[in-house]
Amino acid sequence: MKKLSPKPAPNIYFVINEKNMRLLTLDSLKVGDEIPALTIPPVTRYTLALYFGASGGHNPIHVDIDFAKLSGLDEVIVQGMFSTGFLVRLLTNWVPQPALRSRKNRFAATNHIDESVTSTGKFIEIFVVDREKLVRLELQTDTPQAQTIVAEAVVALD
Amino acid sequence: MYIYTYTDAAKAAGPPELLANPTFTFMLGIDAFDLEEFTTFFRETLEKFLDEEENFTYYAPIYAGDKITVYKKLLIS
Repeated sequence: MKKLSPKPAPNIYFVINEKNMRLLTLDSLKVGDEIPALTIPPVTRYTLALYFGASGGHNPIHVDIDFAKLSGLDEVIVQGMFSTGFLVRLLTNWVPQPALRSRKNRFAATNHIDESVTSTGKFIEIFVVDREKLVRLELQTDTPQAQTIVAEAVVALD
Repeated sequence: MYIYTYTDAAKAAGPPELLANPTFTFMLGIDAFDLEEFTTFFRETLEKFLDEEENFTYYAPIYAGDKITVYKKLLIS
């Protein structure tokens, strides 16, 4: 029997690591550079339940363990968009939100409860469209068990 | 992060109102979408429906008070 998670503290998700706030300027960055990683603490069922209500995505597979078991799983699974939210925060910790231009992500594996989630990103292209300087980043989300999201984003750097 | 939840924090940081976070529009999409109806249409059960891939293009910020219309198109691939 797995030990129950300690009483959750949702506010922990709102703590910004000061190191993440350091800004990279276009002059200094180059292809291959990484932006500061973001790790969130192990995800609890409580947090999934809060997200379930907030997101409007009411697939019981994320909160109802009986339903999950009937579906052939051992446990509820984390919403893909929950982890995606932190993947995007990796970007908004680094640039203001209006700098985001596009993002696409593919879910490679599911995140599970009691696993921490780490998002990382690096520059793969620096280019200009309509005189706007842009960078393309390769992003990914990993748990201790697996790579769960593979993504790409374009961010303006003016 | 408080620019998403506290109006005063948002205004202090620049936005004129509370700012919708970058994944907010996904929730709008879900709201415009009846999961039960959708699964019935495909004669499938809910556990078969998990996101595989998503694409977002950001055109302009969404602020509290904005009225939003969602259009959806179903593509079979």
